[in-house]
Amino acid sequence: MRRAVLVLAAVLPLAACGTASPSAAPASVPSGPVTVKDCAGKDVTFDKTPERVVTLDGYAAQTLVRLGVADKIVGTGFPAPFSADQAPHAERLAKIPVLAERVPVTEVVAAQQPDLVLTSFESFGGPSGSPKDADLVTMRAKGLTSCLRGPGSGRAALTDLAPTYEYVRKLGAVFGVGERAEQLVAELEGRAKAVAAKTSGAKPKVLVLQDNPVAGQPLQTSGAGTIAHALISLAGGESIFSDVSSMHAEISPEEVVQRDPQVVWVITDYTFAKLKGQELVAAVKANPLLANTTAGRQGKIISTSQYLVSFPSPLNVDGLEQLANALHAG
Amino acid sequence: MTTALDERRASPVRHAVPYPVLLTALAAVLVVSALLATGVGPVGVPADEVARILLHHLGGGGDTGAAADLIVWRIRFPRVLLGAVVGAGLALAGAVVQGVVRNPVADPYLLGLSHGASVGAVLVLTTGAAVLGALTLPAAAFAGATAAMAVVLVMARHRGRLLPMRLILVGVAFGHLFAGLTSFMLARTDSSAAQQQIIFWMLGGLSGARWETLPVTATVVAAVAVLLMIRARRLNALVLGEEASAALGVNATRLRWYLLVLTTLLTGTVVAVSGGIGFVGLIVPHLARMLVGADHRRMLPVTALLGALFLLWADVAARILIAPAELPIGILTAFLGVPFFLLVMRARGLATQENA
Repeated sequence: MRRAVLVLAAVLPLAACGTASPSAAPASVPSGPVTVKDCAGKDVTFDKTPERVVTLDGYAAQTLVRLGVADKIVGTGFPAPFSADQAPHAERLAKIPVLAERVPVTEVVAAQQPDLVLTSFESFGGPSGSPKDADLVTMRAKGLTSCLRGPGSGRAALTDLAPTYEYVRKLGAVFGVGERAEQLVAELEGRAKAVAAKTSGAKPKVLVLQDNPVAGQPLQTSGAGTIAHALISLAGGESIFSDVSSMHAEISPEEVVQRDPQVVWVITDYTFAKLKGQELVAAVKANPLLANTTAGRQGKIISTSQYLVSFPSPLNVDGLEQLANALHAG
Repeated sequence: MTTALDERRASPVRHAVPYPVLLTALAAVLVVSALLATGVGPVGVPADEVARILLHHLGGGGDTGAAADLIVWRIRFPRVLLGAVVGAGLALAGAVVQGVVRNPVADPYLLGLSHGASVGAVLVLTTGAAVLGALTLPAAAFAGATAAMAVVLVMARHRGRLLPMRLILVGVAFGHLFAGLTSFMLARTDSSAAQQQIIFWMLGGLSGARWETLPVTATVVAAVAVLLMIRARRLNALVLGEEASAALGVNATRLRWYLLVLTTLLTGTVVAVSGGIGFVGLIVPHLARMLVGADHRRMLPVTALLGALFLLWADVAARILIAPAELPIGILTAFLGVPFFLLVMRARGLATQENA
């Protein structure tokens, strides 16, 4: 199995695509073979720029649109994140053929005859029937995933958006639009720095929730190895559950009361949540389990859609701005 | 337990359809089913196109590079064949275990075999160890099944004898231990991708099928099937019980060892490629007994064919019911298997007191 190992953006052989013109017109750049590293540190070599790309989830498509290579996408799965995007990208994304509302199965992907399959999830083959690494070999397509985890240890806490920037740079290299990728990363980093500049000294203690807690059951939170955790750090807050690492970590209600969050950050739109959007936020506000916490007493319950903050995507910075605004408001 | 021989004599089916005709018919249905199943999937490929592609390749033609060619020949057809092979293997393993422990509800799950395989596979999925590359997962599952069987056999042995009741008790106990271990690792893993893979693996599925993995599985299933057929007569004696088999000159303990090693090989190989597909090993042998009686010489080939047919169609349903998404096949084996089994049981009017 691919175990995520973060490839440092600095070691990416960006030089290989240094021929990209400033206008970054995608198809017109005759570049030599480009080699990037996958999450396991293995080389993936592209003899020519990919022409037929399937994105298994909308996040990867959102990155490609911003790199100006959306015309290479022949189909996408899981288009739900598009709903969180804005003009002019939303219009462009709406034109991409949708293969399935969730992650498409192998056969549906193969029918598109892709030469590159992308996902912003951690690995291929997660959802039932979706293409695994070996299936990509069968259909003679390359595959690239985003790499969430830090190098070496699988438990390293994520405190910045390195995985997002790294994936943007990697795709920029693959498509011969390295400069455009650098511009995008510079823009995103600039906005992230602007957020950091506005944060004050005191670090509010934040509890992340993904659904309305039910009495007698463990709560689900985003652990230290997630984009959400990175955004809390960047926004000048402090996650009270930095000691768990998984994306849907279960925590006990007693611990929540003990650690006393000052802010509850509800990440909405998870498919397993019983309520959607603001209904969920209202339900969390009324939840007696949180009534005895500082956040509950002061009504500091804020929310962001998971489409901005759950997987590496350029929209992570939008999520960061929303979070920082809510965190430091009032 | 009334003897198997009595049941065979009482079998109402014996005079209905001659055995060779039944066997030929089942084989023919299997071949036709394989072709039909290859034509069905989330991506629509016209029937004549499917036929043309299959003829092209079966006639020795190479890949044409067309999308339909890729889907039919590289993705669907190996999957259909693997479904048939895995179904036959699971059904045979179930039939033999039922005979060995003289218990009608036995299957490889009951002896902890499948759970052992799960532990092996989940260990690989959670630690990310990949010493053997793509073969790591199947190898680990196989090693898990073997280790589980070894432990169960050693613990169940009592004064040099291997008795059915002890086997079942020890097998069930270790099965629970292994299931607990699997759940523990599932709860402990941080990666949601690994969690998804583990859950998918526990429910089983054939989406891992490809030409490269098919020959090994098919060879093992075929070889074990032949070895079982050679022992089918003695397996009949074993079902009669300790004293009766001794009277017939069969060393029950030695035969049980031999058959269980074969079953482990079969289960380990099959589970390694398809995950834990339940129910086939439990139900299909009973269907076969209803059709041709309990004589293993007649029942084992029918079991293999029925198992192949059953899993092949269950997988078709898994692929198309919620297309373009896919259901874990374990759900379908239960949904299709239970009503079918009850229907056949009622239609055959099979008296259940034989096992009372």
